[in-house]
Order: sequence, then structure tokens, then C-alpha cells
Amino acid sequence: MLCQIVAEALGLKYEDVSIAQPDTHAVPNSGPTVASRTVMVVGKLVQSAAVGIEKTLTASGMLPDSYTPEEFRGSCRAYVAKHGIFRSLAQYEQPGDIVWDEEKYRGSAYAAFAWAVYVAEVTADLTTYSVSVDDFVALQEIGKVLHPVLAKGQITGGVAQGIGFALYEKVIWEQGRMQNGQMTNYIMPTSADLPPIRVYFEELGNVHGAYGAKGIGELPMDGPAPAIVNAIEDALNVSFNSIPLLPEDIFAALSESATPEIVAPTARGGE
Amino acid sequence: MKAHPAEFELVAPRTLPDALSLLAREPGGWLPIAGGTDVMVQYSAGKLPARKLVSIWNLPELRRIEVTADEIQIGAGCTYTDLREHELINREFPLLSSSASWTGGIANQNRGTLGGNIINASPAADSLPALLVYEADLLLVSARGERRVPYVGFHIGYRKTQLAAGELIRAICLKTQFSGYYAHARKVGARNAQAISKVCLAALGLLADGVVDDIRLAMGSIAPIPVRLSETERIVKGKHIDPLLIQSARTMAASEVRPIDDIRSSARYRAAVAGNLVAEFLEQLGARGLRSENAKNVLARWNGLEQGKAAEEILPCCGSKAWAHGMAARRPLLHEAALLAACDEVWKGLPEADWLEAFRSHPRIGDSLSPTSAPARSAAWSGQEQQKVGAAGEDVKIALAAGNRAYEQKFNRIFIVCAAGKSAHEILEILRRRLQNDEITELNQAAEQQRHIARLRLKKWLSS
Amino acid sequence: MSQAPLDRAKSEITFTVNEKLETVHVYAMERLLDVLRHELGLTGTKEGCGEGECGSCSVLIDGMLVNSCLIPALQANDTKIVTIEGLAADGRLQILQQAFLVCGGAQCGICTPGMILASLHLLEKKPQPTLEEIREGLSGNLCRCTGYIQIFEAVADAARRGAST
Repeated sequence: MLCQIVAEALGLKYEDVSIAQPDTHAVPNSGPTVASRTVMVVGKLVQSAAVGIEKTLTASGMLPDSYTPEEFRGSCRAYVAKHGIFRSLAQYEQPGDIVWDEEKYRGSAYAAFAWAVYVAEVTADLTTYSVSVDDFVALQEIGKVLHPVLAKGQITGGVAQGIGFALYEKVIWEQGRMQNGQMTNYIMPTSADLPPIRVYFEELGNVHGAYGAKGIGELPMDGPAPAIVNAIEDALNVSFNSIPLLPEDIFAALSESATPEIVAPTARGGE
Repeated sequence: MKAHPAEFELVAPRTLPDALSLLAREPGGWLPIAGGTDVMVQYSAGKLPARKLVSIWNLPELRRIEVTADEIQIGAGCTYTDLREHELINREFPLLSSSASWTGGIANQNRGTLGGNIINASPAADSLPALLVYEADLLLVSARGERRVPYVGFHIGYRKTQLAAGELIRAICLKTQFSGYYAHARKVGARNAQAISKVCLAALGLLADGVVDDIRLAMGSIAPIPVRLSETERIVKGKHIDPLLIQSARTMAASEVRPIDDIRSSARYRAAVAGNLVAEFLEQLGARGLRSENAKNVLARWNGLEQGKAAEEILPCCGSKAWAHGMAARRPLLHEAALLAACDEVWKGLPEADWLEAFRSHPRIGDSLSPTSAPARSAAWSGQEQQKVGAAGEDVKIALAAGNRAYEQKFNRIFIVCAAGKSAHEILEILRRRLQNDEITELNQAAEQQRHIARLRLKKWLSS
Repeated sequence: MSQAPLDRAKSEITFTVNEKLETVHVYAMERLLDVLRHELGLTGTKEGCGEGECGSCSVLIDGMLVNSCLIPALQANDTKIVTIEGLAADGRLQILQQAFLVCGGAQCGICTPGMILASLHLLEKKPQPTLEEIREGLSGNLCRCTGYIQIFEAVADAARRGAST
């Protein structure tokens, strides 16, 4: 998306923009590795830096107000020949209309918020007490969709992780050690386990993000599990407040609420 | 990986006799490895006690499948994929091929072997309950000779078998005597693929005169070895299946199993689910019995009709008068299997003109109101079969209509597909592909679809 | 690890990889995955779990999809192996690879080589797979990033374009 933003800002082809491997020897410190801010914050800076290049070239008379990609390249070459290496830097500045009081912890903590609706349709199998998600819809408002395929992929992947969180990925601890840290016993969904995941977007813009974009990656982790648990409650009329909900947990809850179909075994195992 | 390859020796003899003489020379000194899907996992985890291994992967003597008059001998070196792809195994021993399809993913099915599953002797092994209900025998071979033992009793404890030193399993023998049985299997795991089972059931049932003539229930993951639920079998055998019997069987099965709490699941859960699986099987067996009774009654009445009336009654199933008369002429047909076999034979023997007549009895896909001269019953069935198409979005319906038009222009007749259970999208995909066909290929594919439709409708007719 | 590993002789193992004949001198119990990566520098095949569960190490041996972390080198002797590097060897992406790009079938890329080989294997057996068949064919390849949906779309798209021919 960063290359897309530069290409869009400068009227170039996407293929004409390349992105360097970040080497801390060459690139400045850009803060911690966190989520949900790349396109919005970094993208906005990239957009500013790109515009900065254009402004420098036009200001030095080397580029007309309206130009072709070929003219742009020529102009850059000419500038470098005359002035040497050509760098444009953009630094993050807190937007003026976002006011945050660090001491009192009051105000607007963030420049923009992402919004979403997640809907899960589930079937609870009373023979095995297992739940399968039959259909899932994610509607997310992300300001502006810059790359539809990648955006959809982000949300689909996040929803899949949310489904894992809700129904499969139990971590078993013993004396502070994880007991099921292998792919055989830490249960992640396979291709045979996920429902169709249908993704839709709303675009309400965001003045603080590149071309109106907001972050999208974290939200799909948050919504799906609650949606699924709500659906399970709707199906079974039993309340749950922890995840993941394994069949064993559902069985235990149903046995406690003494539904007639559930038979408590009369023998307990031992080896 | 926690093991160093330098500490291990692996040899690969070219023939079975070579492997057996190596095993005989140093009893207990060499661990056989076939596909490696169990051994290599232990090896990589640093948990393999053996240091010398002998590869028996792909030895031709172990990978044969031999069919005799009354049994099939499956080489122990056959992979799960080999089992899944074998026509006789699919037809006569579906519980074995379904268990093979549940073991790991495709890559592991291509390497894991039936012999390995048996020798590894995990109580959760997918194929073992099937071997119990089919009463498999094992052919064990060593440098000393060969012996045949029943599989039951071979597995003596948790990961322990009666395999003697220097012995290998050469083949697994199954008698082809179960084709009349209702076969059912279900595996309960943590997810739909690549799961070690928490509970699994392999079941065979036979009804005669409305009661259970024979019943075999085998379960895995509920005891140190896979077991037959003999007490549950005892209370079901000879009885008529009704809700009271099903409930007793559920309770008995839940108490007969001996599961444990472990990293995957709990004993209480396993016991309850074991009971539920048995109840589910008995419900299905009972329903099948009812359908079978019903079918017999429909056929008995139909067999007694005059030729013209019999043909008229069955015509909506296919739309071809020649087919209907051909079917009526084949009477008496005493049960569903015979009826369906007759359907196939008669259909395949018809000339093109009769096939086209059958095609003409259908409305266009997505357009169930289009006029045909088909009888009301045929129209009703078309409506049911095309149910999912009706629910499609506008853009798909438009694409279907365009596709239908293109098809009719190219082939001069309407597009025939067995629509039941298919979404509009799937039908559109099929239509697009078949539009590329040449005349002859397309005629045959359409005829195949019509045959499927006829079979489906015959089944509905039998349950009416 | 033990202090003095017994010094077993290495074996000479010959196989064809991506249509090129290779001979390596490795321990018989070396994992094929390690032989491909370290002896032959074919690092497209990945190790995700080392226990045959994730499918990142998938390769084709004699046309069969297998997990190379579970194959001792000696058992690969005299076989024909295809790794991800064998596709698009002339620099042009195959239909299937192109479909993965266009449909967003790859994000971080770690499952991708195995996923593509598993998809190729599926299309060779079932040139026009249904969605259910695609799900089953790929059920041995775990992906954390994509949620699989766009991978299914890529495989279906490739099938439509005749990827298996």
C-alpha cells in the first residue's frame, strides 16, 4: 500500500515505485513495531514525503505543475545531477485537533477509531457438543480501502484467528509451562474448519490517514469470538463467559443445567 | 529437531526376505520404518529409543492388494491413499476407507500405512475400530514362516501388540461378507482435519424382519486399546429399534467405556459422547429399516400393476416413455438396489431420441416455471431440486439465463444438470465448463446427469 | 545431546530435484527437508513444526505430496522430487502461482510453497475440484495469516484457467 500511496501522490505507475528493505543503518528510528497504524500513520507520512519531493522539484523550477511520469523521472535525474542525493523526510506530528492530556489522561487518545460489525451463524451439535461456524459476515469501516484484495485478506485472516480464539485454541498450563506447544496439540483451524467469511467495507474517510485510510488489522481479532459466543448462547440458552469454548466446556455447562438429553456417565475412567 | 542423524543407522533392503533375515539375525536390534509418519515424529523429538532402523517402505510384497473369492488381503505397506483409491475397499469395507480419509492430511495419507497404524497400537488409531467390526485377521511373517491370527487379541495393551521378535505384518485379511450391512463411522476430534480422536465409533448393523439381526460396535480412544462394546451389543441384538432401546443403549455404552482425562479431553465428556454416538447410529439404523420397509411396500404394490399403469407411475422419475416401459418390463423388482440397477441398465441402453425426450421433460435451470408437458409430479420434483437456485442473487440468475441461452444455441436443447444440493454458483460453473464440450462429450455428460436425476427421483418415489 | 555421537558413515544418495540429478553425501536418517535446504540450498521448503502437521515442508516425491520433515534421506534415494523452486523455473509464474498473487492467497508467505504444491497435487488429481474438495486437499497445510478463503479462490481460479494441463 505504501508504494500505491506514493504512486498515487506523484502520478506515477505502481511498478515504478520500489520499497527498500529497512536496514537500521540506513533508515531512521520509526518507533515500536505495532499494529493498526501502518497505512494510517506511516502511509500519511509517506504521502507527505512524496508530496515534499514534488514541491521541491516544482519550487526549483525543474518540474511543471502538470507533468507526465517521464517528465518526473527526467526532473529527478536533473535534480540529483545538480544537487546530489535527494531525500524527503516527513515526521509525525500530533494532529492539532486531537487534544490529549498525558498527565490527566483525558481527551482523545487516538486520532481515529475503526468500527465493525461481526455476525456469526453457528450450529451446536448435541451429539458431540461441538460448535461449528456455518457462516460469518464482517463489515468494517476502514476510512478508505486502498487495496481491496489485501484489505479483505487482513480481515479474513483476523476473523479466522478470532474463530480459533473462540472455539479451538486452548492453552494448557502446568506450573507455568505450556503443555501443548506443538502444532499437533495446539489446535488451530485448518482449511476444513472455517466457514465462508464474507467481508464488506464502509468508507467514511479519515482526515488524518493517507487518502482517508484507517487501521484495519487489529479489529478482526476482537469481534469474532464474542459474536460466536453470543450465537452459542442463542442456540443453547446457556450463558458462557470464557473462551475458548471447547466441546468439553459446553458439555459441562449443559450437564449442569440438567437438560434431559444429556446422560451423565455412570462410570469414570482410569487406566 | 532434537536428534542427531549421525547417531542412527538406516538400511533399506530391496526385498521382504532380505528385511526378514536382517530382523532374524539380530532379534530386537532393528526397528522397522515404513512411511515414517509415526517413527519420524518420535525421532525428531528425540524420543526414539531405537538407533538402528530398517526401511520397509514400498516393498512390493507388502504393498499388494489381493482379492480372492471370499476375502481381500491388504498388504501392510499399503498407504491410506492406497486404501481410499481401491474400488473394492470403498464398496465392501467403507469403514476402512473412511477411517483412512480421516487420518492426517493428504501428505500423511500418502505415506502412512495400515500396518504402521496397527503396530503403533495407539488407542486413538483411526483404522483399528474398523478392523474390529470387520473381524480382520492378520498375516504375520518372519524368517521362520507365516502365521494367521485374528486382529482381536493382537492388540494387548497401550501401544503393545503380540508381534513376536523378527516378525512383520505382511497383510490384513477381511472377509467380503458385509455388503448387506449398514455401515457407519464417526470420529470426534478437536477439529475437522488433522485431529487425534477423542472418541471414535465404527459400527455395522443388519436388520431382519424388523429386528436387529447383527450389530457390531467398536470404539477407540475410550480405553487403552480399541474395543467392541459387547454389553451394548448384547442388549440391542434381537430387539426392535425404538426410543426406549436407543436410550438403554446410550446409557449402557456410556458406562461400558473406560476413558481417561488427558491433554485432549475429559473422561466424562468421552463417556457421554460415546453413548451419544451409539444412539445416533441406532437412530440411523432404525430409520433405514423404516425406509427399507416402505420401499418394499411401494415396490410390492407397483410390481402388481398392469404394464401400462406401472410405466405411467414411474414416468415422472425420468421423462422417457421408453425408459418407463423398460423399467416396468423388468418387474418384479424386489428392493431398492435392484430398482436402481435396472434404472442404470435401461437408461444406458436407450437410443439418443429417448434421451432427448427425457431432457425435454425438464424446465430450464433457474426457470422452474418454463412450460413443459411434464406431469405434475415431475414439475414438483424439479422445483425441489432447483431450490437453491431460486435463492440466488439477481446477478447470478442473469448469468444463468445468459448461459442457458448460449447452451441452447450451441447444442439445440436445454442444459441438463442434477441440480439437487447445488448452489446457483456451482451450477453456473458447471454450465460454463460444459459449454466448451464437443457434441458427443456433451451428450454423454447430459445423459449421465439425467441418470443421476432419475436415481434421485426413484429414491424419493420409494419413500412416498 | 550425547557427548560422543557414534560415527556412522554417511550414505551416497542420488535423486532428481526439479529435473536436475543430484548426489549428496549425508546420513541416512538426515531429514529430506534438511537435505533440500542445507545441502542443496533450496530454502523454499520451510520447517513449520517438524512433526508433519503444518505442511510447510511439503514437496512432491514421484508425483505424491509428502511432508519432507518426515522422510529420511535414504528413502528419497532414486526418486523424482519437485520443490517450489521447480515451478516457474524459467522465471514465468505458472497459472496457479499467478492466481495466488492476484487473489491474495499469500500474506507472510511461510505456508505458501507448501500450499502451492498441495494445490498443484490436488489439481492434478481433480482438475475441477469443488470447494469441499479444495478444503480437503489443503487440510494438511496450516495458514495463520489468510484464513484460507482467498487461497480457495486462487485454487478455483487456477482450475478455471486450466492450471493442471
